[in-house]
Amino acid sequence: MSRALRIEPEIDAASIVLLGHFNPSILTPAWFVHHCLLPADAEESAKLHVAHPEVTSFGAEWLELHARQDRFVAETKRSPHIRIRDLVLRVFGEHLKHTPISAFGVNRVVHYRVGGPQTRDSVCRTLAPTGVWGAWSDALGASGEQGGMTSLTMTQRNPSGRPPGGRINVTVEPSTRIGKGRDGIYVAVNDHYAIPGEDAHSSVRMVDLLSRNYEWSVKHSEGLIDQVMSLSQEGARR
Amino acid sequence: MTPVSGRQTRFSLAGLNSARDVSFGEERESIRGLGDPCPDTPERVRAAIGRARRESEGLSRTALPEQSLPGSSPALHSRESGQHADPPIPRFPLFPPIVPPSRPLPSFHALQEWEGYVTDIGAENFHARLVDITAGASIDGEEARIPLAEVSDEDAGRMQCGSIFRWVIGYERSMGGARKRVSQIVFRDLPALTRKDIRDGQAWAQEVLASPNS
Repeated sequence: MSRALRIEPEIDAASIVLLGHFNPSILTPAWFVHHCLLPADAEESAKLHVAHPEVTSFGAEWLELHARQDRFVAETKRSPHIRIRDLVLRVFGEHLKHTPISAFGVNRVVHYRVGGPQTRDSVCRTLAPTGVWGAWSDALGASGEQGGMTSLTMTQRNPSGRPPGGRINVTVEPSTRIGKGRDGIYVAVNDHYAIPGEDAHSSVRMVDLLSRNYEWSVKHSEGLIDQVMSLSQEGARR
Repeated sequence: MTPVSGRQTRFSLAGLNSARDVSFGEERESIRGLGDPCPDTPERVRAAIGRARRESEGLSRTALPEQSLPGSSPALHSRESGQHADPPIPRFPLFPPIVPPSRPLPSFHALQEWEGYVTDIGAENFHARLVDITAGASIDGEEARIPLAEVSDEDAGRMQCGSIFRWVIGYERSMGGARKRVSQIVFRDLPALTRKDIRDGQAWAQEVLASPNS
């Protein structure tokens, strides 16, 4: 379930990342079309970047797919994001059930504008105050042009309701992609699920966990992103 | 309720090179190598594959890479300090050069999203029950009559009573940065139901019926 974010992102992406043992050479648009996982016209219209035993990458309408021998990524920048969940569950629940998968992550990434460099500085200095750095705080200066936070990650270990080893990571950075690198903030939420060793020989456990938890992950991630966005509005008011 | 926009919206081929656009950083560099449509030289391809093989540092490996802030990522620093050497990589065919887009690639952000299921299909419209996803609802509380013109040809050909879809209204940003309001209906390609799914559904139904608020 999703919620509206208080600031409309200029870049808004969601992805599912699987870690395990994959065969990239089969994961081509033709394979997806053959198994009715993508529309029939996707085989011709898809942009196949590379197809190789070690890596396959293509883009098709709403989907960006990247596969290595140890990693599978399904990514989209177009709502409804739930399509990537449905696709991953069909691929590994119906067709590639014996793929060993040891972990997966549900990721949400946004870049949004905050209305000016000063507001962005305010957000960064709320998250990472420069004053605590003693004498160096003077060198860091009064604005982001001189210094300050370039990346911050917060981690929650072993969230409840999932196998041990899970984590929720939230990364906040000044955005380099929008606002000419001066006016935007980037927030990425990685909701990581570890799969116990005894279940990592196939995709069954991943399919079960992903189907049960995807919507909660997305809703929770959006809540975290919205919380960071609220700092922008507070910063603008100061 | 009828859709705000009567215009059917098609998926756009984003021409995605998402590795360039969405997320960055050292691990992002590795996906840049994967996602590049035709890196310009075999050496760059080999370097990209080599980076892709290295373990990511710091974050869970299921995270997508962080955006590349020049000189800011600790992972970049470790690479610069020479902690990792690229292993030998097999020869790759020469790909034609490509100029990366300098403008943002299209994205479609939802302001409002419903999940619905079809209850009736007419000649020009279909009826559906809707769950307000944006509001966090879990029970269908609204009903809509939706023109069939809102549905793609492919979806229209296979929709039937009970088909589940997402109706999304939001803003699409084009490659030029222009913003336009879009309404889109997407039918879900759900995994096949298993006996376990049916048992879980029955258990959930029992739980709802037994709750004081049912």
